[in-house]
Amino acid sequence: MIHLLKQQWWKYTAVIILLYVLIGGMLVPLGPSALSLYPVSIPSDTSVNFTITGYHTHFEDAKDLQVWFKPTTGTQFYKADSIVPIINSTVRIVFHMPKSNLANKHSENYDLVVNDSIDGTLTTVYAMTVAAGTGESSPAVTPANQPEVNQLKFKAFAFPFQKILFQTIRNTFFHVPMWFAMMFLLIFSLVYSILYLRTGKIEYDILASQAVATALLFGVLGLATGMMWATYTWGQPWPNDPKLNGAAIGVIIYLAYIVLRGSLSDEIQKAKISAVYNVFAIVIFTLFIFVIPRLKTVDSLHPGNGGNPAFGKYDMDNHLRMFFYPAVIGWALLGFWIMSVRVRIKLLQHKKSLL
Amino acid sequence: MRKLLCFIIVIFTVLYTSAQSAEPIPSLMESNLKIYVVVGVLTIIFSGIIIFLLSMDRRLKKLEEGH
Amino acid sequence: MFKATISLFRKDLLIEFRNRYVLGGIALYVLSSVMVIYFSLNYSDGLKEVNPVVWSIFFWLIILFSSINAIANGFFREPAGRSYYYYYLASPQAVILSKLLYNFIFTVLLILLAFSVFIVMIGDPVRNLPLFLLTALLGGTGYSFLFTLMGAIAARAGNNATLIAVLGFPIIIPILIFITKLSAASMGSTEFSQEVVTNLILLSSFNVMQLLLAYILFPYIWRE
Repeated sequence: MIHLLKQQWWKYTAVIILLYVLIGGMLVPLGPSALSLYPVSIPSDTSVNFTITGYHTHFEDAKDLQVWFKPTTGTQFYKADSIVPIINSTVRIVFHMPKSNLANKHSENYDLVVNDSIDGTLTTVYAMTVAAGTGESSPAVTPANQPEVNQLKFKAFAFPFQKILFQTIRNTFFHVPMWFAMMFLLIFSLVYSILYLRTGKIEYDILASQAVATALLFGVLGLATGMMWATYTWGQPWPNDPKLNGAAIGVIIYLAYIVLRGSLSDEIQKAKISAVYNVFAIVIFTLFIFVIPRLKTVDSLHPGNGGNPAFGKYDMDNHLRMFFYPAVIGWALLGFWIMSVRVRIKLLQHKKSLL
Repeated sequence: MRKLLCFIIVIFTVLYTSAQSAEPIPSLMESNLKIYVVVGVLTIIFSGIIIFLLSMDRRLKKLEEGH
Repeated sequence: MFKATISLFRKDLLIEFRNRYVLGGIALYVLSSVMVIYFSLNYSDGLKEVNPVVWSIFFWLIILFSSINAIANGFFREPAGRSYYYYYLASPQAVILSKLLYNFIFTVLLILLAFSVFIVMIGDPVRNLPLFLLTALLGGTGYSFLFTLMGAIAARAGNNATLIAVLGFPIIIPILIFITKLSAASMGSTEFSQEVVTNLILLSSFNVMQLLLAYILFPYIWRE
């Protein structure tokens, strides 16, 4: 292992991958989205002029623009009466909603569905509200239950535009891989702690302890970046979230590991006892992070339902994946690189102490 | 290992002060579709790694001086 | 090995009864902690209605601190040299099993003592007594197993009493969440709901995992 840690090729790989992630992750634009709709609340039975503002959209270039409104709780689609694209990012539409279509409700929320052949289908939930007027209802319109809205994806090379997240979707390549790097390093240290307990070679202890120290760096960075990101998307730096709390406990467990090592002076005893603690802690910690999201006190804000660590459930699209998987590998390799330097310093120290 | 603890404290103070100063000017972080949040995250990551490397550098220097 | 476990267990029991003031000290620790809670609640009008969640959190925190003290005492009581003596007499497995058994019984007794003091002073909101006793049993197991291993580790690290807390607290959090949820549930209704059964199973699996890890890992701490 130490031989592999001294080799250069995987460090160059890490640099190339990280450069690719950094450049691509920052330069690829965001995909199209319907940014805003005005007005947001209208009375029934009146033809209203709406203005839709888009972001990176092609309302004018695409000749087949369609605009629909869909009740947030329903499945009917109501087509706009007239659709006039002004420029690529602005379209004017006229829409009216008869009172008899509201089914005796005082008001109803509508989603906006915009569809064209270049941008695909752009949906905005809770886009506007129709309030029932007091007058006589105009004749009801028949909604389309299965409209010719094709669920197209946009064709441009871009990251999905998600409301609330906006540009911070790029943090997927910087915040999330911190946790992956931490977990890889912790698994590595677990393996070497077990190997140390079986063989008693001091090199294995050095590998395990330096892996934990580097994993802590990534854990703390993950917490710090997560707090930053959460402040501007979820509104507070420390929301009550099972994944966040699990990660914080992990960091505290490994700070205790560092304290334990610091309080032991004999080399062999230090190695042995900290290896025992490491094995014990990581087993309980893994059980904990797998079990706690299933306790259902709070739902996780993180993607992956209920905050469980299942990987396939991330709501990611293929363009994000093109950078996310390399980012995980790149940051993990950088972590192992830092660890390898620490290991070599420690080995040198150890060799010197033997002289 | 004391250095590591120092480093963690520094990171949290930096974060705390940045969170403090972010309160009066939310407009900057919210502007341009929140792109500055990404800038902030990258700044945290690189400053964290650099502080970590500096502490390693100091340890190595101590080892070299001992020769 | 079974014989060795039992005789080591009896040795621990004997030592405990020889210095009975330690036992009295732990009992007084529990009593005075409950007094502190009683007075702080009473004079801030917090006792008008007993909130099940607050009750169980206070209860398990008191158990947490008193069991950590009791178990730490059990490890630091013996002079360092004597462990070499046991090393020649018994296998490490026997030593850890006797320690686990002893600390388990001690913690369960501590829980029962604290429970009776709580009933008298703060009130008895428990409606499902079998569930509460089951929780107490499983919670006592979790606490004692964890702190026994952490105590063994801390005893090697120069009898540093704060070390047990530093090492044990982050790991105790999952167990603490389970037992506060379960004991709060035992005050809500008299039946065993699906969620309660799931939590009981998860808590027991945590305990089994701790037992296995302690059994496998203790020999590495024990051998010098």
